[in-house]
Amino acid sequence: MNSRIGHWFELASWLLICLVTLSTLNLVSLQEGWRLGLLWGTLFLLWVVSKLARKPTAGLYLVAILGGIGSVFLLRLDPSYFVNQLNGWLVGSLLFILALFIDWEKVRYTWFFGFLSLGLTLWTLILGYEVQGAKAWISIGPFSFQPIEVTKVLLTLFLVNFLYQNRLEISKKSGIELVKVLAPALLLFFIIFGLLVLQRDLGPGLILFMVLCTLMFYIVKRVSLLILAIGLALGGGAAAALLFPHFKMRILAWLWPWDNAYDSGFQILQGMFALNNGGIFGVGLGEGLGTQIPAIHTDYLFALIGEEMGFLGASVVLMSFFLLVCWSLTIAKRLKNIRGQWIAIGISLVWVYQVFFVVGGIIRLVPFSGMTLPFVSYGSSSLIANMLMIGIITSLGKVH
Amino acid sequence: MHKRYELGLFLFVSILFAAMLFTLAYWQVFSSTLNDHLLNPRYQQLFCNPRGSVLDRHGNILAQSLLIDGKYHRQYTEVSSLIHVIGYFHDKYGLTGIEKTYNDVLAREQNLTTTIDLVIQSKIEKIFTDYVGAIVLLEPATGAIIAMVSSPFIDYARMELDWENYLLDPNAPFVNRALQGLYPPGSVLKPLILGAAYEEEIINADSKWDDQGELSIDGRVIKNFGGNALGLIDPANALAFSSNVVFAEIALKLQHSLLEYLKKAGLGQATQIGLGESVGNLPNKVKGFEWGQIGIGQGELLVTPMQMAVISATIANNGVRMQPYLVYDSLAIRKTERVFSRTVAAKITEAMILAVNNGTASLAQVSGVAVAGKTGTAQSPAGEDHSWFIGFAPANAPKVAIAVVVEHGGFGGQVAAPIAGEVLKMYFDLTQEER
Repeated sequence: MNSRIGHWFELASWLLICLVTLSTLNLVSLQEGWRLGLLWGTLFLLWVVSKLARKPTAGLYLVAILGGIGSVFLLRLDPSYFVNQLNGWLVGSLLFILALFIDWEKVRYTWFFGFLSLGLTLWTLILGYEVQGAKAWISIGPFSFQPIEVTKVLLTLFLVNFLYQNRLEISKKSGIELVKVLAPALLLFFIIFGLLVLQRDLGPGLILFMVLCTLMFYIVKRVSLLILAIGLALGGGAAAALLFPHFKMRILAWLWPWDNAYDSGFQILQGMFALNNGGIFGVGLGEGLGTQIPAIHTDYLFALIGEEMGFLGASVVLMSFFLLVCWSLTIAKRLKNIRGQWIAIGISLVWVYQVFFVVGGIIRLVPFSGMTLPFVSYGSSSLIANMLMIGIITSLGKVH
Repeated sequence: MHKRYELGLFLFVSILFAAMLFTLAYWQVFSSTLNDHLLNPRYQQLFCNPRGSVLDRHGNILAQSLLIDGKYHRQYTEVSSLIHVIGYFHDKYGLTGIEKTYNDVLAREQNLTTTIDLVIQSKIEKIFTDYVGAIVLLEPATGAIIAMVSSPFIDYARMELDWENYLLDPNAPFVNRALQGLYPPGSVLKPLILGAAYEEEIINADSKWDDQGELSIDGRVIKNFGGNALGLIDPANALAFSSNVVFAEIALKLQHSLLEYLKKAGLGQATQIGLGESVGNLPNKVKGFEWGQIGIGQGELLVTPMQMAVISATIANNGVRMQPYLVYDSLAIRKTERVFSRTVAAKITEAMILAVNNGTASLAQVSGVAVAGKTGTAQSPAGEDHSWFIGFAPANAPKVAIAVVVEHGGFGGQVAAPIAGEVLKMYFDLTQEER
């Protein structure tokens, strides 16, 4: 196909996605509705910039679908959520453009990323404040921020770069020698992991641990490492359950929500009630009763989507994430540069585990850990970090 | 090597997403509804909405929602024995009975017409109010349930006030004895055994036994009621005078084919009328003396009053068992099964008429109407015997089949039979007036 015609097709698709979300605006007044236009304008701008930079744009479409669904639900819950969220979109877009013009295949600041992660985590532990039992927030002037969201990206970049720099030694050595090579990275990782445990922010710690394990297995290619990791995860989980009542409660709520229906299992049960009520087609926008679930606009928004848009709507969200991951894995596959490949794979894994632990927690596949759904849930920190990730992947991609 | 790892990663990611999609589909599409859970706000909302009415077969209202002060309230009749059938719809105590089973229909504001006759139900309730047990009235030709009274029951008007007392009541007013009460049938099983014996041709109308009042099997003894020797006796009189000796002998001859007839007649299975029910118990490994026990309706065999009413209706309906039902539904597919041939059904009927006219069930007689029936006195391990009666009338063209059980009531002919007689008289007096 003529690439110029292709551009027109893409433009038309933008208009369609935009119109679909605008068609739901009877739920809110036009006063709040115009902000949705601002979001579309920003995303469209990102598309134009990506086009001009000769970068792939498929990721932006998926972000638009996910962000569109999320925005409609935030507007439907409380328009003021969306006002704040829009700030996140704007800052995130700046980061996207910044990331777009960095050549990630050549960035070598391995230990800079590592110590920045450590610094941010320490800062949170010392100067942060608690929200719902987790000391995960810091404030800069009038702004509140969850550093862990960016830390997830930085630490992944650190791990990937470290493995890349030591790839020759890793492929040669085994046993205790291999551990010696990996030791600096593992040490830094587990210090940060320990700090997260002290903050009682176990969800991101879990994601980072899973990313580490998968990367280790994928890059180091040793089955023994995988077995070791599974053993560590199970042992660590059991130890955490014994040491932290907060963690134990989550496990109990996951396994026996009916026995804890009035306290720890309340949220999980209400989420299941909402999903179950949704059926295949949902009860319709604005008609659901899932609004009463604790943390509905952040951690539990997926349950409300499932109730009001049904299994079909919730599947659209899941499938969009799947496509997003497939897209970034495809970009990784096409890259000749190994460092670039691994960066794309690492970031894809962060998305995979984030979605798996959020959605899986709501549908009781795994214990619920209380995190946001990328691009969908309310939360500027998460949005900014995810826009950065999209920016990195887009930047890595090449249009042939 | 590298390609394989790439593929593995992609497969791994796909599996994670597939697991999410399938679990999501389970909760959203395939799982049974969670909307009836007390903690579900959607369930609480149910009680603010209008709701369809439940009607009896003549259009009388059994349950309806009335708008009072902007909120809908569920109102029931004064015939509180219907609580075992209609159930209740209460924001604190939940949903039971038809209110629960047909919640989907009623919540759509559609009315539901039941087969219950409000007037007959109410009269039976009055007759039976001092007893503990159950009465079931069926239309033999269709299986429609005319009345179902289980006593004691919860008074709709006093439900909230006395809830705690009802919970502690040793007579368990929450249990619908007609469907959930499990009793040994005793001699009311005999018409079924007689039919099986005719079907399997191990007896005929000319068969004779010499009843000496007791029968010894494997060193253990089965006795007639009170040890009476009935002497030389034919099948019809053996049923009419409830000879344990004869029926234990028949069961010993029938053995496993008898179990087939019990199953065919619906014992050991749910009747599937859509309310919570017990299936009863059919013994599976039976030998020697235990066959004799089954012959007199004892041993491990346990039945519900509804199951016995169905057996009675089957004999009345020329041997064809109709699945009992509570709600008129033109789309419902109900099971019919031939248990006995027409001639065998007629022979059982003849013997049951004899039982009412000359035999143990004489107190079930109704003037002007020929009644066919059989009494039972079932031994209970927990005290006094249970008193049973099953039957139907008019015997030659049955309109109604009945089963009565009085828990620990004593001799069937003295307690259950006269109650059945009174109920049948009331039924025919009422239907006579209509004409």
